[in-house]
Parts: sequence; C-alpha cells; structure tokens
Amino acid sequence: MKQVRIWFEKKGRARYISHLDLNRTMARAIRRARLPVWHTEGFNPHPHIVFSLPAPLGIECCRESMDVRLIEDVPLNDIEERLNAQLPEGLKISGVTEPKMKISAIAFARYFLDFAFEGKSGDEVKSLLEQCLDGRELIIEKKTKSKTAVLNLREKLKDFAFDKTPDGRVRFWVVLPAGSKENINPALLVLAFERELNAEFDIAEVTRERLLTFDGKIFE
Amino acid sequence: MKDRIKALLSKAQKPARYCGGELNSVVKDKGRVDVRFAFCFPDIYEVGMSHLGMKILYGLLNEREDVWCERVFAPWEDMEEEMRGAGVPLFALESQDRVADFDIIGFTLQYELCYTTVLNMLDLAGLPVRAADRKALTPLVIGGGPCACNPEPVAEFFDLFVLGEGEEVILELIDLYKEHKRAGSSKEAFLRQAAKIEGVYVPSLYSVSYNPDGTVREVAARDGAPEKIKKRIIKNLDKSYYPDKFVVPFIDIVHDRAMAELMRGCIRGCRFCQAGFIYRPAREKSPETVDRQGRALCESTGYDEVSLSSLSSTDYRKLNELMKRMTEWADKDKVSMTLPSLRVDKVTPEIVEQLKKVRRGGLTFAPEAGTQRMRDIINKNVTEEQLLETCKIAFEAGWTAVKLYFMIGLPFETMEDVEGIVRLAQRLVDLYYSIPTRQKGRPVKVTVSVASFVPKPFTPFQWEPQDSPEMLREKQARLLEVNTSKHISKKWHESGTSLIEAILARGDRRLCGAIERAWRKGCRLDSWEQFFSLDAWLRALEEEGLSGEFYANRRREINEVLPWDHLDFGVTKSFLLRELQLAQKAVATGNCREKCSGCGLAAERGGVCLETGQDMV
Ligand code: SF4
Repeated sequence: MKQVRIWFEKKGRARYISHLDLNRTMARAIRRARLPVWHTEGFNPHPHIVFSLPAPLGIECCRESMDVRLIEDVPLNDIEERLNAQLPEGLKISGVTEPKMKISAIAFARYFLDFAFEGKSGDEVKSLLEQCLDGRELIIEKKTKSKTAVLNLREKLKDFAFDKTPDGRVRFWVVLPAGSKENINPALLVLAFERELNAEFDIAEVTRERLLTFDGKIFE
Repeated sequence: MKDRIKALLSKAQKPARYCGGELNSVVKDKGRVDVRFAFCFPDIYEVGMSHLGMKILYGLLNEREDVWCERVFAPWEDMEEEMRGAGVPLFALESQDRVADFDIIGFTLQYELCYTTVLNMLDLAGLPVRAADRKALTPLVIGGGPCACNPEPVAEFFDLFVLGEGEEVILELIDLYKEHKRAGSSKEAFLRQAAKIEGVYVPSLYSVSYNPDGTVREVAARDGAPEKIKKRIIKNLDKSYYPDKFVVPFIDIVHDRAMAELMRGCIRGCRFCQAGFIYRPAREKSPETVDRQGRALCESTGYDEVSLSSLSSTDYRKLNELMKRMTEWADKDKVSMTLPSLRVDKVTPEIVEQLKKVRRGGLTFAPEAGTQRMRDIINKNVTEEQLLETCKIAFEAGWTAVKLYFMIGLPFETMEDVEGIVRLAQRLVDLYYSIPTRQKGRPVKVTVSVASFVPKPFTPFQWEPQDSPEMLREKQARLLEVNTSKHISKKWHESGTSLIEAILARGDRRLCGAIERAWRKGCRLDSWEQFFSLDAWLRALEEEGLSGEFYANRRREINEVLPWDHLDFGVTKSFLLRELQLAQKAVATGNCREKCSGCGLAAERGGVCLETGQDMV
C-alpha cells in the first residue's frame, strides 16, 4: 500500500464546510471517483483519510492536505483529475505528492486577514490596526465549558506584516501557532482587534495560506 | 457569493444550512430561463433536505431548460434574527436571489405544524402573507403535499393547491403560467384557467358558508371552477420521472442516504393512517427500475447507503428478488441497503441477513396498539405471535434493543388497551431472557414510544373526536404507572402539539385568522418543542372567537358537510363510513391483495386494483 498526500484548496462556499463534514464530503468524492483507496474495516467501511490539520469553520484555505493509502497503483496526476471531477464548488485538488514530512511536524500556520471598515481608506484601517499591535497587550477571553481564560494574543503572533489586497483593502499577514500542541484560531485575532477598536469590521476575511513546521518551513 | 449574505453566514451557527453549492445542486443562467421556481420547505435544512418528494420535483423541474428550480428552507432562529436585523430577505440557496423575485413559490405541506412557518417565510421574503394582498400574477404562491388534502385552514394564504402527485400537474401549471406571463394576464385570469387543470384547487374560486352551529353549510364554486377537485395520480411509476442525482449536503441531515422508491400507496388500510388512504392505490415499480434508480443515485452521490423506501417496504412483492439483484453491485461498492418500514409479519431470514450488515442501534416496529382488540379496531393486522416470532429471530441474530411505536387516544380505546402497551413490552423482555443463545451479560432494552392519536381527513376516523387533553394525561399517567421494569423505557412527547395538530388537520377556512394571529404572536417552527407555545395558539384561537374543542374533540355527524368534502381523493365517503362501522365492531379488513374492499380507487385503473382485477368493478 502506498501512502499519498493530496493537496487541496477550500474556498468560496466550501469555507462553510466544517471539518467533520469535510471528511464525509471527501470520502464521498473518493467513492464517486472510484479511487482504489483503503477503507476502514467493520460495519460501515469508509475510505480512510487523515487530514493534516482541521481548519476553523468559515475561513478559506489555500493549501491543505489529506493522506490516503492506495491499494492499487494509480498515477498521481490521475488522482488529481478524477477527484476534481467529483468535488463541489470551492474544493479543488491542486496536486498529489508523496508525503515528505510527518503531520506531527506542523506547528504554525500562515494566515492573511483582509479588513475593511466602510468609509475608511485602507491606510486608515492599517494605522488603526498598527495601534492595536503597538507593543501593547492584545487580550481576548477564551470561554471553555468550565472557565474563562484570558489570553494575550500579542505574545502569540510569531510574525506579522501589512500588505494590500488588489482592491485596496488592508491585508494583514500573520503566523500563529497551529497543530496538535497549540492552536490559535485566527478568528480570535479578529475579535481582539474589534474589542480593542470597539467597532465591528464590515469585512474581515481570513485565509489560511500555508501550514508551517516547527522551524518555519512550509509543510510538505 | 453576495457580500451581505457572506457577512451573515459568518455569524450563523451552521452556515452550511444556507450557503448552497452542494454537489449536484443546479445552477443555471437566470437570463436564459422563463420560469424561476422557489421550492420552499417550511422547516429547517436538515429536515427538508431529507424529503424525497422535494428531490423528485427539484430534479424534474430542472430537467426543463426553461425552468430553474431552487431550494429554500426556513432559517433557524439565530439566522432569522441576523436576517431581520440586517434587512436581508429570504433567499434561495442556489442563486442567493430574493425569493420575492421568483415566478412561482411552491411550499410542500408535510405536516400541519408547519403552517406558521409558511407565513414566516413569506414574511421574511417581504411578501404579504394573504393571497388577496398579493395582487400581481408574480410571484404565484402554491402548495402541495399531504396536508393539501384539507388545505382549508391555510386557504387564504395560497393562490392555489396541487392535489395528489405533482409530477405531471406541475409541468402543466408551468406551461399555463408561461403563457399568461407572456400575455401579461392578471392573476385572476390565470387562476380561472388553472382551476380547469385536473388536480388544481384554487380556493379563492370557492365560497364557504356556515350553519349557525359552526359547521360548514356549503362550499360553492364559481367562475366555472369544478364542483369537485380530483387528486392526480401517476399510473405507471416505471415510466415516471425519478432523479438520478440527489443534492449531497455537507452537513448531516435527518435522512442522509440514497433513496430508491419501491412503490407508492399502501395495500393495508390502517384506519388511523392518512397516508394509507390518500396515496391509494398501491403501485409498485419493477425490481429492474428500482435497481437501476438506486444504483444511479449511489454512483452520482457517493452515498454508501441506499434505503428501499415506501410506506410499507416489506409489502413489496419482489423484495427478495430486488435485494438479490442489488446486492450484486452493492457489496462490491460497499453500499448497504436499509428498509425504513418493517412490518413484523413480513420479516424473513433474508431481510434479517441484510439488516445485520448495517446493524445500527435497535430494530424498530410499529404495532401501534397494545391489545389485539385495539389492533383490530385500527386495522393494524399484526398479531402478538407475529411480533414475538419476529423479535425472536432478531434476538437470536444478536439484537438486544427493540423500539416499538404506539398510539394512545385511539377511538374506542379503554384503559385496558393502554395498559396492554406495557404488557406487550414486558412479554418481549421475557422472551429475550427465555432465549438460550442470547449473549449473557447483555441486557435487553425495549423502548416504547407513544404518540397521541390525531384524527385525519380521508380516514375512517375522520368523524371521531380526539381525546381531550385531560383524558390523554390520564392515559399517560396510567402508562407510566404500570410496570416499571428497568428493561423498558417509555417515551412520551406531549406538549399540546397533538391538540393543535388535530384542530388544524380537520379545520375549516375560519382558522386562517387564528393561524395568522398565532404567527404574529411569534409562533413558527411549531414542530420543534423549544419553539412550540400552546398558550400562544390557544390565545390566537380565542381572539378569533374559535373553539379548539369544536375542531378537535367533537364527534362529527355522519351527514355533516366536512370542510374537505369538495376535494376528491378517490376514496369514497361510503367506504370510509363502512370502515368506521367495522372499527366500532373491532372487525379487521383484509388488505387490497387479499380482498378489494371497494374503496373507490378502482376507477383509476392502476396499481393493485388492476392486479386484483378490480378494474372490472
Ligand atoms: S379499489 Fe380495492 S384494490 Fe383498489 S385500492 Fe381500493 S380497496 Fe384496494
């Protein structure tokens, strides 16, 4: 059996597919494509899929991965083509490779967040955000079932930079902990900014661009 | 995607309910179609998406190049709040366009408790809820589904109803609509013509008068509308349209699987069951057709489960042959087959074999009543021996959980019959422990699920009163008292919903006002316990000067004009009356295959009536 890593993007309407539902969606696509993928045993056999890292609901992703085991040899670009023919709008396979790294190597993810306030220029929004990040704390309350924890997000931002979208909005690039050890949902960052600015963004769109390893390499 | 909707979706609990874009959903160029059809299911996505009728009509309408049919569901409360707050009107999933801009808005009415949701959806769409206040031809608001067999309580909200099976009549309606739209006709002119199509009921062309005691005096047709409106029947199911694709949802829905339809109608005639009468006659598809359709669906969806659906799948004559045929590809493709409706007298070892493959939880049966006398009254021709025999097979095959469905409040019921329910459950527990091959250390679990009986139009019990809420509570108390074995768990849901259901099911047009009032008081999604408010409903009725008891708990006179008497569902009143009299004497009636009981459907020359030679009658 040969393990392969299937790379995909999750955009547009597909961003609203939760992780659990994504698993089912991919399993069905594999069945429709009739790919010779190893199935779990038992009463309800289904294709065995291991995702690199669940993505939070509602964000777009540029390059996610899922691993499957092939029980017959299939050319890798065949897999890409056959699966793409079976996927709903927004999900797209961008390549199939052999796994180069272990999933457990993932420790960070690089995101970009596009922000807009109605009536404010990109530069104005940028300077507002810069103030929020001005060495101060960026506090957010994280509610769990039993208690509310206070988290200083500022400490968690590993790397960040400002940029512009093609249509002039502010684009904020940031690297956050992601993986099995620690995982910071970028939506918290949006909330923290809103709290700091005491206003709700008119547009706040989050995209996970790449998964990164401990030493900042792109996960492959 | 539209920015305003995108902003809402990011706040919704389950955005996938509203985002569309699922596999096999149909997107067309709106500039290239003549008729845009919004198929509305007045409940949330997970419920509506499980409904076979909607899938059939969605596929059928989208086959036509000149029509684009889209789906619309009721938003859950979080989304409704966001939509109202942001001023975003109800939109269709595929295009995200406003429902109010569609040509035809079609609601399927699957249960009475959806009526306030219909009003809420029209309101969310920005439309007046009453048909008389929507003056233009477009959008036309139409209704169908089982509740259309007595649509009087919602008659004033709809422009027209489709009675019976919709596959043919909906296409005829759309053709007529196209003509009138092109000619710039008024809504009235269109409706007068539409009323001439068989199966189309235009309530505004009928005026209802009442007697001093509140009963209906007369329903008078005008402008050439027919005196009696006949339901539509698809005679040959093998030749009728069936989708080869289902929209595959992202989120888990109630029935998330492929469905192969075996037949329509039912040969049985259980006297409480409306479906058993309004969908007559029973018509089967050939095993070849079912096999082909089921397989096509599994291939186009990737589902690993196909349910063999119908009202009573074990009555399908060639079930074994069909399952054998399907197993040939299903095993290879790792697809399992399920039977949604088992009759205890029909479970064969072959069926048990199939069921074992997908063993999931317990086995479910619906004896409906606890004593033989009561089962004879309701014509549920199942004996206790048969139930025990079937459960024995199941226990021996390794099952340890059985779920049984019952009703209380049935006509002519005594406390003994109520207690009989729990006695029967105890007998199953005893049976389990008498089986030597049972797995030691695994206790049996018998779940008894009890619902309150609601008398429905076009059944022999249409004249019968529903038990008063006090009486139902008394029976419930007794049910809980007797036998509290730890192996039996009793499930009972009653928060007044069955009373409201009973009022609406056999109501007349005067209820329109009460439904509108209930909705204005905040009622919607009434079938969800957390939203149902008996108090709001009772106040709405009172303010309208109506008595719930008059509709629900009164025995109706045999010669009384019933609010639905002008609708013709094929079963004759004299047959229903005969059945009521037999029920009174606790005499059962054989099924259509044993002996035709002359219900009136033979005139249609289809299905089981032909099979038994009844077309000669
Ligand atoms: S006419 Fe006879 S065979 Fe046909 S549906 Fe009625 S009872 Fe059954």
